[in-house]
Amino acid sequence: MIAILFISTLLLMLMGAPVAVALGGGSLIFVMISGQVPDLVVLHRMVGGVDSFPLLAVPFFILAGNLMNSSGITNRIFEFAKAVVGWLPGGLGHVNVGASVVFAGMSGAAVADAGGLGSIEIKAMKDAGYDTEFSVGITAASSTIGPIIPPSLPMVIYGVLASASIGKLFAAGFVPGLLMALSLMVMIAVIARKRRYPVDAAFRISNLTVRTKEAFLSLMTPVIVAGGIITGILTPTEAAIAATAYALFLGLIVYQSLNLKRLLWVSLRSIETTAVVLFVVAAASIFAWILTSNNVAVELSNYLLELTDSKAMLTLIILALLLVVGCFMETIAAMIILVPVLLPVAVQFGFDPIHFGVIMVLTLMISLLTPPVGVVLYVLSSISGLTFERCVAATMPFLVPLIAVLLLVAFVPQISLWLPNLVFQ
Amino acid sequence: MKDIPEQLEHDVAEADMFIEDVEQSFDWRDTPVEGWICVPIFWTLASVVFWQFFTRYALDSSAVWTEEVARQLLILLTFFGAAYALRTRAHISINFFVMLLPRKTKRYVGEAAALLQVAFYGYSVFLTIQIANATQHQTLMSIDLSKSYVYYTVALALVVMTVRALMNAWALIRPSQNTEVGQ
Repeated sequence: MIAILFISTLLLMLMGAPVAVALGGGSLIFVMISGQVPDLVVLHRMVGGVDSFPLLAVPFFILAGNLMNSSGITNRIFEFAKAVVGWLPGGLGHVNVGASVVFAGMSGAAVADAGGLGSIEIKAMKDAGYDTEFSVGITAASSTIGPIIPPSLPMVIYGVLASASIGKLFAAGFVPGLLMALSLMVMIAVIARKRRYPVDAAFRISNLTVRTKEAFLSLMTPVIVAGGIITGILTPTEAAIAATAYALFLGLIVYQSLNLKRLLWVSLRSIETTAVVLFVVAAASIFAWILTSNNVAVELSNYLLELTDSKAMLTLIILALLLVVGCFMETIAAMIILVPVLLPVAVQFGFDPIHFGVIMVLTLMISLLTPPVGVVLYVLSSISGLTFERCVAATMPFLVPLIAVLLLVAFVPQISLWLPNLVFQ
Repeated sequence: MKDIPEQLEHDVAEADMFIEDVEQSFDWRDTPVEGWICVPIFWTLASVVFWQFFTRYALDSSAVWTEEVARQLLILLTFFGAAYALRTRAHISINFFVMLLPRKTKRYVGEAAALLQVAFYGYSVFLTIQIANATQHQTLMSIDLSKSYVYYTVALALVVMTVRALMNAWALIRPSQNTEVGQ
């Protein structure tokens, strides 16, 4: 019976209907045929799905990020990162990763990172004589750090789905995000030594001071947002609105770069992104509700228990499943469908829901770099002028350190859980 | 932009230009009516959430009504925003498999998908009005407003989406008739 739900949803999706319509429509078809509940439950659950206070963080993280981008902050951050790590061998490669880490502290989406910072980074690296493949590979790989280091849209959505503390999830992503950056920097150092890449500029304390001064007010955003959430002073929704208020303050009063026209433009862009995400959330909540009320998770869990009883084996199965699904599906849609199914199984095998959230988001982010639906790769292909296939090939080597970190994070829960356990008692 | 799916095209086109360039080409007069509905909802929501934040930290007691009102506004923003995103073609879809189909099949599948969308939005209007009628006597907890108003407004957003989806479907189907006439 439940097969009707999967088949009709999948069919709608493959036909190219919007993911939200496929989820909602598939659910509607199932409800109509099975007669388990009245049809209007579909819409009731859809509306109920976004009737949620934690979800209010979504529009305001998006808005704050767009406001920041609109006031030329990306350039300031890039110059700051150059002053901090530009003197290492393979300088601009490290700058690329460093800027992504800082940017991660204010934006929640990998595509924003690749699009905004990426165009600056790739151009700078081209001018300095790096080959484009190398630049594209690093930019793609480093853009996945964004949604791991707080704030993070996928983490907010996971928190809502799993009824887990979003504050804890944000804190849990911090160390794994830094590990990803570190692993990429090691890889860059190795390649740079082998290929004798140039050092960008000698380290000068005077330069660092100037750049820090220029970027100081902008750098306060990740401090307010990530700091406020990790220390537990602000809830994610509060951090999001505080970041918005701060961005408005910078744009309207300090930099005076915002006017009414820009504000309207930023609002419309933010509304668009918010609605796209939340409409999928709404539609997926009826889908997930049907899965839960038909005990799909229990059946899957029994099946997996028959297949294996080792946690390590289960972890590998889940990682592989997430990577494959993530290759074909958009992150948030994939999460909404898979969390209600996989989380109960994982908990039964002794996973902490917070730890599982980090694993899930990390895996889905890595799958953004793989064909055929690697959005980040399409964006970078368009920015750099390389063909899609060459972007795929250029990014492949950088998947190695990322997957190494993923395995480490998956098998050593303390990496994720150390910080949230320290902060939230 | 050669052979990439429509929704990706939207993302790529945006990321492709520097943000300043996109802003330069932005003309506020081009904002569709869906956009003009969303902007006030969006900023009202921002004010309500900010007010809650402010009262909790500055006045040390958060206003009770803010949370519930904010949630209702988020519902409205989701559905009217979805209508706006339908207009700007920003909704996420997986076009990878459709791209693999032969040209003619691809067109039929595209038309079928467009019509199914119309059916989904249209039937949703009908269901939402049913819910609204059933919830007339339920009021919100913190303010004296019937829950049914929220559903009626959602139904209105769905009407807008149905109309837009119909126009999209018509735009897909009409040129095919023209070429047949031309042949």
